[in-house]
This record gives sequence, C-alpha cells and structure tokens, in this order.
Amino acid sequence: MTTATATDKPAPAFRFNKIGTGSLQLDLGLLLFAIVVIALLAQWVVLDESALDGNLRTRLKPMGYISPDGVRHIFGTDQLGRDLLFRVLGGLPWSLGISGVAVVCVAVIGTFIGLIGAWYTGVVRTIVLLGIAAMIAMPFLVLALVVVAVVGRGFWPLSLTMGFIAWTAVSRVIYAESRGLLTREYVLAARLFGVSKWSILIFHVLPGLRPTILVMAAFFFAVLLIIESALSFLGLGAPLNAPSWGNMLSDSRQYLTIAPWMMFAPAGAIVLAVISLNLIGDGFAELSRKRARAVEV
Amino acid sequence: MTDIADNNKPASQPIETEKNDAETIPVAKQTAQTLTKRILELLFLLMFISTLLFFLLRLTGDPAAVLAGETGDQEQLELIRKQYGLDKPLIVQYGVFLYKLVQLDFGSSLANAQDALGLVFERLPTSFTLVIIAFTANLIISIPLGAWLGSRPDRTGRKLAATAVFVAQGIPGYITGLLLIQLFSVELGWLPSIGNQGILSWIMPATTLAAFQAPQVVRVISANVAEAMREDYIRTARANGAGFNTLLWRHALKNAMLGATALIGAQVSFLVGGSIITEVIFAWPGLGRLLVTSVQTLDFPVVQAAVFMIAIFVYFAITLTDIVFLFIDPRLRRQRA
Amino acid sequence: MSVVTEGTADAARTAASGETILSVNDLVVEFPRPGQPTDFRAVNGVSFDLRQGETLGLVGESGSGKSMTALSLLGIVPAPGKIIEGSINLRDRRIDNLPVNELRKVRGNDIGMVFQDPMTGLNPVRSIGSQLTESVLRHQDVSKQEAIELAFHALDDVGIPSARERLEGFPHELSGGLRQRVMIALALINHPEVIIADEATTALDATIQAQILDLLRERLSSATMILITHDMGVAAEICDRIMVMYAGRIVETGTIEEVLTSPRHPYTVGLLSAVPKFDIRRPKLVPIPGIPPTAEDIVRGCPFAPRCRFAETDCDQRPPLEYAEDRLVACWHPRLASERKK
Repeated sequence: MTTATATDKPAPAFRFNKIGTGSLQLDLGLLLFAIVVIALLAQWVVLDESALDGNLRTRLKPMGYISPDGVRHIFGTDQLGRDLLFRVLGGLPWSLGISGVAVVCVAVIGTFIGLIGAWYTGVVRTIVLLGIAAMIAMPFLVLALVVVAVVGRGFWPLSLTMGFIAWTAVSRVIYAESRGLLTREYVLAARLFGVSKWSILIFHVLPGLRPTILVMAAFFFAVLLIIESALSFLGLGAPLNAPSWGNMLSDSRQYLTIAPWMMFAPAGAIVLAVISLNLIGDGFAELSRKRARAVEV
Repeated sequence: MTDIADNNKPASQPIETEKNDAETIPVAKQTAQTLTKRILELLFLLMFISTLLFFLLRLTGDPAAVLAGETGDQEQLELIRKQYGLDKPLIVQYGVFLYKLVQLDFGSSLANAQDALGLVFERLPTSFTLVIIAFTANLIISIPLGAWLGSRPDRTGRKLAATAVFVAQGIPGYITGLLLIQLFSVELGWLPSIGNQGILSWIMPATTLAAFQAPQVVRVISANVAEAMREDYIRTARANGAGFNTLLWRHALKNAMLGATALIGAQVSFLVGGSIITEVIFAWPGLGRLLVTSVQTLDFPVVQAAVFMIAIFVYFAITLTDIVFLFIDPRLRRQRA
Repeated sequence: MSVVTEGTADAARTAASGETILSVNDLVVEFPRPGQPTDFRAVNGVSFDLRQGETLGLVGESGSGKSMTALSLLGIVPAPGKIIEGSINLRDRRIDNLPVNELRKVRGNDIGMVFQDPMTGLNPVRSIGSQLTESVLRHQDVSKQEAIELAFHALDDVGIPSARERLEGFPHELSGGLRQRVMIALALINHPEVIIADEATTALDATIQAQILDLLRERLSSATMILITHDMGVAAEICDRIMVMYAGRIVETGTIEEVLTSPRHPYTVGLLSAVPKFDIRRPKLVPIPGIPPTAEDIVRGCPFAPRCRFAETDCDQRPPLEYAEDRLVACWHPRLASERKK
C-alpha cells in the first residue's frame, strides 16, 4: 500500500527555492499584498487637492474624468471633490495599521492564554476553557461595537479593543495544539530534566506552534480588516474625517444614486487586501502541511 | 512458523470481549449534560459582559455626564446622579446593578423612556427571522456545493469554481449589500432597498447575510469531503461495489459535515454579527439597527438589553446545534466505563 | 514444523480440483510521474492463475506491488494509477476493461476484499447493519427485511457475539478484532467466488491475529482466496501456493511446501531467514541488507541484485520468470536443490 505514497516527492521545508516560496498561493498573496503596501508610498508623492467649489454635482466626478488642468481621476472624486484613488491610498495606514496592530495583540494574547490553558490543569484550565467557549459565542462585532462606543474612536482605541476581544478563537486552536505538543516525548524528557515551565513552553512548545500562529495571524488580519471597515462603516471606527476605507464606503452609501462609482475604490481596496491575506494564510497552511508530510516520510 | 501456528483454538471462542459489555450513555442524559454546560457558559458570559460594561462606563468618565448628554448643566448632573444612584460608592452601585440584572430589569431607554427590554423584544422577531433564513439558505447552498467541489477537486471546472468561492470569501457583506442595492434597486428598480415592505424586502438582506458566510462553509465542507473521499472506508465501500454517488452522499458527506460541527454552530454567531451591518445598510427595523442607534446615542440600558438578548439567542442556537449533532454523530455518544 | 505438514495436506487436497477461476496475464499498473522520464510501475507484468478452492499467498515487502495487484483485480487502483497492460479474466469473462457500472457488479459480488486496517476500514458514522445491508441490497434482489436477516447471519457466522444488537451498533463500539470480523462478514456477505484478504491480520495483536487466522481457515477452507501478507508465517498457516513479489514482479511461485523447504530465489531465502522461529539450530534472525527500490529509483536488470549475496555480473540483465527445475523463478542464479548439498 505504500506504493502510492512512494510517488509523493518529499517537499522542501520552508525553504525558499529559486522563484517564490514553494506555494503558489503564498507567492500570489505576497505579491498582491506587496502591491497594496507599495501603493502606500504614493500618498507622499501626490498632494490631496480638495476643491470645495461649485455644487455637489460638479464636485462629484465620475471614474476616468480628466479635469481641465489635466488631472486624471481614475476612480472619480468624492462629495468634496477629492480624488478617490489617492484617498484610498491615504486610508492605507488607517485600515491596515489598525488591523495590523490588532492582529499582533490577537496573536500574543491568544497564544499566551492558549498555552496557559494547556499547561495548567484544574481550576485555571476550567476558567480558561469556559471563558473561551463563552466569548466565542458572543458575536465579535457586537462586543467591539459596544466597547468602542465607550472608549471612543481613533487609531489606538480601535486597534486595542479589537485586539483584546478577538483572541479567543486563536487561543482555542493554540490550546488544542499545545496539549498535543505537551504529550510529545521531547517535552516529557525536558520535564524529567527539570526544565522550568516557561522554558518548556517557550523553547519546546512555541516553536512547534509557529506554523499555526502564522496561518491564523494571516486569516485574522483579514477578518480584523473586515471588522475595522465594518465599524468605520457604522460610524463607530476610525475618526469621521480619517480616510479609512470603511468611512469611505459609508460616504459612498449616501451618494449611491448620484455617484455609484464612489464605492469602487474603497471596496476594491478592501477586497484586494482581504484576498491577498487569505492567500497568504492558505499558502502558510499549505507549506506547513508539506513540511509535516516531509517530516513523516 | 511463528508461535501462533501452534495455537489452534476453535474460531468460535474465546473471543476478545474488551468492549462488549460497554453501554453507551443514553442520549437524553448527554443532552442534559450539554445543556447544563452551555447554561453555565452563558451565565459566565452574561456576567462577564455586564461587568465589563458597568466598569467601562465608569472608568472612562462620568456616566452622569454621558447620560446627561452635551447639554447637561451641573444641576442636571446632580439630579441624574441621584436618580441613577451614581452618588453611592462604586461597589454598592455594582451590587444594585447586578440585583436589577438578575430580575432582567435593564431600566428604560434614555432616548424615549420606554422599557429597554420591551424595545428589544419588539425588534427581536424580524432580526432573528432574518438570521434563520440566512442560516438555512447558507447551508442549503453551501453543503451541496462544498460536496461537489470536494468530491473531485482536481477537475478543471471545480478548480475554477473553487477559485470563485475563494474570491467571494474576500468580499465583505457590506460590499455585497451595496452592490446588490446598486444593481437591483438603483439600476433595475426590481427590489426595495430599504425597510421591511413585504416579501420582496427580504431577498437582498438575506442574500447579503448568507453570501458573506457561505464561502467559508463551502470551503470547509469541500476540504472535509476531499479528505473523507481518501479514507479507508471509502475504499471498502468501493470494493463492495458502491458507485460514486453512494460514496459521496452516503459515506463521505456525513463524515465531512460532522467534521464541520463547530463551524456550523458558530455560523449563528457570525450571522448575528453580520446582521447588524446588513440591517443598517438596508434600514431594516431590527435589533441590529436598534443596537447601532443606541450605541451611537450612548443609550446604555437599551445596549445592555440588546447584548443580553443576542447572547441568549446565540447560545440557544449553538446549544441546539450541539444537541442535533449529538443525535446524528454516534461517536459523540460516550461509552460508560 | 506442524505448519508445513498442514500446508502440504491442503495443497494436496486442492491440487485435485483444478478449475481455473481467476486468470491474470501480464498485468501492468502504472502511476504517472509528471516531469520525469518514466512513470512508476507499481505492478510490472504479473501473471498467475487462481484455481477453485485454492488459497494463494501473495508475499512480499511493503511496496512490492502486492496490494496494487489485488486492487487492480477489483479495478480500484487509486488515481492517478492505472492498469495499462494485461488482462484479468474471471472464469471466461474479461473484467479489467468492463465499463464502470458493470465492474461495480463484480466488486463485492464476484470478488470480495478484506482490508488491512479494521480501525479505519468501516465508516465511523454509519451503523454496522446499514453498511452490511447496503452491500446486500446492491447485489442481491431481496427486501430490506431479508437484507437485515442476511446481515445478522453474516455477523453471526464470523463469530460476533450478540450479532442482532450489533447491527444497530457503530464501529467504534467494537474492538479491533471484532471490527476485522465485521470486515470479513462484509466481504463474505454476497458469497463472492474469490476472496482477497489484504494483510487482514497485520494490524491486530498476536492472539487476535491467531483468532482471525483460525476464522479464515475454518470458514474459508474451501473458498478460493488470495491472501496478501508480508509475513511468511501467516502465509504458511493457510496458503496452498505462494507467490513471492519483489519490486512489482513475481520472483518465485510454488506450493507452500516447496517454497518453505527449498526456496529458489535469493530473495525468498532472505525472507525465510527473517522469520522468527523456535528452532535451536537457527538462533539468529538474518535481515535482508539494504532496502527495496523505491519509486524514485530507475532499476536496470534484476531489481534485487543490489541486495543479493549471490549477484554476479550477468544480473544487470533482467531475469525472466522461468522454470528452474520444478517451479517458476525469476533469477539467473537460483538456489537449486542440486547445488545445495553442502
């Protein structure tokens, strides 16, 4: 029966080969994400010209409009006559920054709590598991909405709130995986040698969790980006004048009938970023599967 | 040749009986256990959320100022402090707060002095109907699609479809909603874009809500089906003459579905979260919009009542999924020692 | 060695009834390897006949192609593997090129198969009864109720206690040995003409292995069976004839007595030296040095030559499967009885 598996070529572990990373998804995802991030640089090159003249109709320019002084508005302009492409680029630090900070919090807190739950038994574990199970059931957006309403808008309140709420799903996965790792022989050996709790968790268990953390971080980056935009869309996220993509979508909704193009730039940016992050997550998952298979063979 | 060769026992006995006397615990009893566990979790969650809200509101500033709004002068603040017991020590306030909570007394709305819980109950049915419709639609579409994609993932047509599903997964619900309004209300004028005005009004909100979660379910089901189709029991069934349809629908799918239990249960939670945005986009007279409005106006009694009811609903749904799977999945029925 | 005498007795009995039931000719199973000059041949020109009432042992290391040979008899070689040459005949009917829906009528009905791992071989979420009746209803024209009766009898026949209740039960409620009995019941339920047991006892512990072997011997002594195993001891217990496979080819065939007492092929010699026995004169187990060629290796000449003690320069040519004295051996330098006097 091993004949079939014998045809599988053992895959290289996380090694960078000549082109790309060995995973098509990861390559594509990184490429897309790079495009999104490089676009960030464009905001310093171009000045944001807002033209508060004329009435609403004349300020709203459709996609591809070329102004008399020769400026081309690829994605059109918004209700204040601002070029939407450049506004989307200006929104990058907001949208990606907020969810980026949040995802770091999620990874750190989620891993920490998961490890605690896996290491201790008894009351500590029961509380951790009860807490995780309870929190997962609470719709994340509802909780974020309520907390943000109290702590206020802005970059840090928003990102930290999301970070401190969203870790539960991560910690559940980390918990399950750490419990598996803690039964491995090398961990038992380390315990027999009297290695301390934190040394075991940091030097023996954590490295084994790295692929999982990477995969989950990529997916959560996407999820948090969606949530951040949702909160901003509801008017409870980034400050109202900040060019966060959710804010821009919210604006576009008000002019849906007269300026349908207003949604394309922010919507496109969100979708592109989410897809690239999902691709990166899939790519990491595939690489770690390949590596696991290579170790088995 | 080996030692077993000289061990010529009759085949009929003795047969190993390790597990023969084991009895499974009755499903009813396990259902009771699941219920107890879930109720404990729910109490924990409600306690946590209300405490969080209580202290957040007090730590971040003067709740009286929040309650009075921007126009309140010193006199009004004093009045409000007295009225809400905010002049008492924090711990006493917390005690009173918890006592009222146990009686499900959330107070009355700051905006229009109506009973907060009553307001929530008024909005509840439409919202939860919307969520349940989306949930059902989601499963009806995702499960067959996922099974089809996962049954032969190497075929070209399915690869293309899987890519489409992947892209769809990257489109948040609020974008789908805006696009749908743009197309069906603004351009074509077929469907009403706001409010609940009869059966047609349900189409776009339900689609928006279902569309955001469906790709994820499709992907998980399809991955599980693909994995199940490589299992040994599929080979056994094939060796006994089972055709492709029997293998997929009668052997692989059930295993794949049971592997997705947690995700399917969590769908309700995701959908309730998504329904908030959907309701705002479609100006839907539901709980989500009430929550957003109350959050925006800092109408805390209503916020709290809404969060409570949402938590209870989600827990009810998750527990129901648990119990349904307990009846479907024989492996969950534990052995008595 | 009581075993050998037993095997001899069986061989003597079955040799008399000689009608050929299954006939395999020049079977080749290939797995495509994109990006490489050659595809991988899991089975490489295998031919054999299976006679009525005979138990044929297919012996070899893992990866020797014995399981692939068995799977190709049912037409269930896992994709992307394919039968690319040869023919398989069941009585007078060619079955390897049947359309799929015809082939499905052969599977489980004409040829039944017992697989290696009883822990994963049964669907964990369907009741044992439903898995048995599914197969019955597919192949036999009976009512649902009759199918349930047949399933009950099938379980009872393989020695499952309180079989009636077991029909409602699920695989995880049974121990490994009982599950393997269910697998056997499933293979036998439609009374197939040929039964293939693929490492049917390998995954079980020794005492349960003995019980299952007893069951096979008792229930299937008159059945036509192919027993696939890597364990010469198991083969010796119930087989009449043995076929040794190496790297996708048959290297030696003969009656159990012939092969056990005077192996011709150096590989068979090696296999027998690697079997533990309670024999004071041969206290040491002798492993075969090296490993069999994997899918990656391109083999020229005799595939066993790199591991063979007796290899000479002419072993870089492929040896054909030819009669060496009394039986078929694929070796340029077979260990002939006449040369073995020392």
